[in-house]
Amino acid sequence: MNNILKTVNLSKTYSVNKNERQTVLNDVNIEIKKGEFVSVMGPSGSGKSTLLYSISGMDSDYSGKVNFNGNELSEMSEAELASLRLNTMGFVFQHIHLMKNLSLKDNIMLPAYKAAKKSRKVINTETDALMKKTGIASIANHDMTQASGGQLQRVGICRALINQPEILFGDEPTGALNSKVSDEIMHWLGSVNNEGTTVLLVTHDSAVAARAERVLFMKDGEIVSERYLGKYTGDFLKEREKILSQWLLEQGF
Amino acid sequence: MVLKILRNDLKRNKLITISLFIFVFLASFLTSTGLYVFMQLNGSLDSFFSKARMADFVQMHAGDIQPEQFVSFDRQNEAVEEKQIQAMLGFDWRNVSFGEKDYLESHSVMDLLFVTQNERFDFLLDLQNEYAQVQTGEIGVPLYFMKLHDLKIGDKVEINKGDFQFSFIIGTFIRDAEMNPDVVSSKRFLISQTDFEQLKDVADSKEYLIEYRLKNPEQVDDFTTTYQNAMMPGRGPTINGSLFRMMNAMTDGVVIAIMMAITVLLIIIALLCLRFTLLATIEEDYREIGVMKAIGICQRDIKRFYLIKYLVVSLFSAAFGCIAAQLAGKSFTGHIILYMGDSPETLLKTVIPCIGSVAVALLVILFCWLILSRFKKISAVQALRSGAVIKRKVTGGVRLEQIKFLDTNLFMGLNDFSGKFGILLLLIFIYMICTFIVSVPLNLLNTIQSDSFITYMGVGESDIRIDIHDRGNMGEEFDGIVSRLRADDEIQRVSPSITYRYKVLNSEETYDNINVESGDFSVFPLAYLKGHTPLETDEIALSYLQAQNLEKEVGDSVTLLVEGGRQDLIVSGIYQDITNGGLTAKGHLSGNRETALWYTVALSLKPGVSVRDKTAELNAQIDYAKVTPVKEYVNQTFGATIQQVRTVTLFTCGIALFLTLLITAFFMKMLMAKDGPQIAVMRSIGFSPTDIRIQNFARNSLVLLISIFLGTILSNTLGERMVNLMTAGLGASDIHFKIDYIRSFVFMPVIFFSVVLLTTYISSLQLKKKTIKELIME
Repeated sequence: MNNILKTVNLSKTYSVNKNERQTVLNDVNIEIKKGEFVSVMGPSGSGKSTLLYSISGMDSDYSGKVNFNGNELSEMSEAELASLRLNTMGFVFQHIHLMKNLSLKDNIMLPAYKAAKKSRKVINTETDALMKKTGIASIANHDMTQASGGQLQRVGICRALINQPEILFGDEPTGALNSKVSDEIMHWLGSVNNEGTTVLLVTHDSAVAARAERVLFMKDGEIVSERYLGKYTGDFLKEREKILSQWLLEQGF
Repeated sequence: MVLKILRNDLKRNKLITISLFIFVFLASFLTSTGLYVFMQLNGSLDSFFSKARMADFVQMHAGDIQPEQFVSFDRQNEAVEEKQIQAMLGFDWRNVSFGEKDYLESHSVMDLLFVTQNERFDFLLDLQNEYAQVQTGEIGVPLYFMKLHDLKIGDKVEINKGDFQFSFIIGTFIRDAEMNPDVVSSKRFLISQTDFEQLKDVADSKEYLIEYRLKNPEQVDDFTTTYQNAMMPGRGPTINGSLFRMMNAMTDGVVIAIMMAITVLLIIIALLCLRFTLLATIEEDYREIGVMKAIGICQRDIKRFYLIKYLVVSLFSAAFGCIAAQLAGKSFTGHIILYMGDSPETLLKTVIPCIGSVAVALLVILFCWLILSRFKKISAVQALRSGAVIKRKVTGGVRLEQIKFLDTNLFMGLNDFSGKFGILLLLIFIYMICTFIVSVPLNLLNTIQSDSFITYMGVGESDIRIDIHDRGNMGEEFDGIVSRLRADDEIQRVSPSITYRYKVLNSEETYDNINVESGDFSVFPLAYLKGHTPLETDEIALSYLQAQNLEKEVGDSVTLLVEGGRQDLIVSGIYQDITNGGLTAKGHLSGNRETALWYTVALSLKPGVSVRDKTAELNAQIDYAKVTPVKEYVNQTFGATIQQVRTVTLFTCGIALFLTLLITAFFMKMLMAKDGPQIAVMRSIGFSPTDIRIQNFARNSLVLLISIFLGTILSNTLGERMVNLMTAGLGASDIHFKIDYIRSFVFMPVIFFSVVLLTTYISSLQLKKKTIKELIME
């Protein structure tokens, strides 16, 4: 399999005061293959989210290289990065970030309208189908204030998938949800991965990470170890969680 | 600690602080400057009139006078303190040249009157406001001509009348308390007694100024009535002290009025922006305010923290505004100082403008205090639990899924407009005001400069106007001129008229003088406020001010004293006229030609005939008449006013565009700060900074479009009304704006759009400064 994403000596620091700088990422080298499902875990402040935002082009001012599908992100203009995010990436946030003045259906369709890869009629039809599939068709014309957290997160995921991205990034996608809804979301993300989309999630929840085929452990801005769990087929989740928890204990987490 | 909070807050919200500073500074500057100009105008007028020893009552008279007539009148009138009669020698403009120009280039609508210096009062002053004196061979030239022909001391003024030539050297320039203003159509030139004697027999006309100073100037109206009832010489205008003051103050008074109007608008804008900023701050700091209350800081102290910032900004900006006004004030008083001289430096001249600035600052602080009383409503518990109470937006209106063709960015921009309508209403209001303060002076300028403005001077639209002052026995000659004009192949229509003076019975059952123009007014029709032109011999039309004076309406009866007794006339119509103090009338009276005041012929030319060439031809043919293209007549009569309105228009355009730029930058800063997380969402899903910019353009363009539309309607309704309120006192109560469609509907909107879109672009460059991650984390 080819790499979809590769970092070489990715480092980032920020200024604490005039004389002091804090290292957030320290020579991070990762390779993500196409179609992989990878989780990044680690304690608070280990640099997980910073890593995610840097490799998705949403943060800058780092040193090292980030190569996405043959494109060096640091050499791309804002317009090129925007186009990359629009056409090849999807992003799911922990806290719901939707457009306040649009209906939930319009929020989902917005990237597709912007990309204009298909006709608006087709986009409308596909969105209706997607919302029906994920059980949120009844709230299509509602706004943000008229849906539950789980429903809103599903809207966020639909939006992230509407342009059939090559990779889906998630920053604690189930962090604000209860366990039942988390299960449903993760089940869905698993099926998205099975259809060929690469998935890279940041999480502190081992129940979420156990569905990934590979888990990276970060501490103090570095990838200190990784654990290969194999492709999750829908069985033996508890066993995978147990293996993962044991491994995490060994990492001191 | 308070200083630290203040410093940090000022650093964090630089643009907002600067914007507020500028608004209050501008309001303070304009208030101070307006008051300074007012003090200067008042002081200069008082000083000028005092040094000139103004007359309280002035009667011009064309023709001979009998000095013995005045002896008994003066003796019988205890109100009289002093009297003098000044003889004036009138020369036709064609016989006078200025500097290097020949007479054609020196063409003027003004009556040129040569006089000697008065001995008792009504002194002509020089540019140092001293008693003007000239030697034999020297001449004192009125400021009007100094500016018109760019004259200097030492230039020549020559009289050429066939065999008679006389040359003067300009020895001084004249400030004339009675004839300074452009609207006064006569100008006095000062010469020595020796030269006066030489010119006496060759003058084209001889007139007199009969002047009185009264023991009690407030009794001038009674005195005027007494003078007129005694059938004293009065073939000419009658003017009193307050009218002189008004005419001298008119041009600069317009500037002061406009300045004050803009100041009021600026203060409104500043207060609205302040309100917006304060409410946004309270919303953002809702939780922090709750925390402060929870830990025991009392509400008064919390209010004080916030108030201190605005107190400091207001006081500093007001102080700067005051200082700037003291420094820049002189540049607004150039016209006053030239025409009237400087006023004495008094403490009040400095203090009053500063009081204006302080008043602005206090108003701003009081307003902040009132807004900040919202703190009372914030409960510590509620704020800590829930943060600000955010008004939820319920989606409605057009949805994205319904859009078939509109570009996504344009849709998002328009959608943003509808989502933020409440906030944008303030921006619409401010842009609307900016459009208003540009449109009104622009429309007024265009109206004054239009061909149809002549109708507000009581004259129908014609091409050429011929004015002939009576030289005695003009009757037959005038008829001959009219016949020749009617027979001229190049002339299409001719409308002769003769102006007579009569006595009219006023509302107090006494008689006033009234000048009635008699002729056929259907040739060049005038637009009437009410009624129509007089058609029958027993009808009369009155000017707006004349009708007010006599308390007459259309259909009322007016009694005139004519030769042979009293004649009742029916008021057929009321028209607008700002000439002759606004007091004129028109009728079909056949008067005694020997007592006519002046003769007028209005004429229009056939298509293809050059107005300029025909004017020159007629001037050469009728050497004792003033032949003027009508357009030039307006320009020369209102030249200074047109120039002032032009200056004011440029000034208000500058202010409006600057305000537009400032308020756009202010709002962009506020909106982008508020919308940071939403912008982050859009960028994360693939919208580039350029896409966001296009959305801002779309939203702001819609705001501006609505504002220009509303502002234009407002200027053509309320603006027109406001102008009419000002001009009603001059005789025109129903001016309709003549709009230059290219300037108003193409040029100005393009400039406004350019300013708004450029500012939007520059403001949105800050999009690149923060990463998506930083925006999301906010």
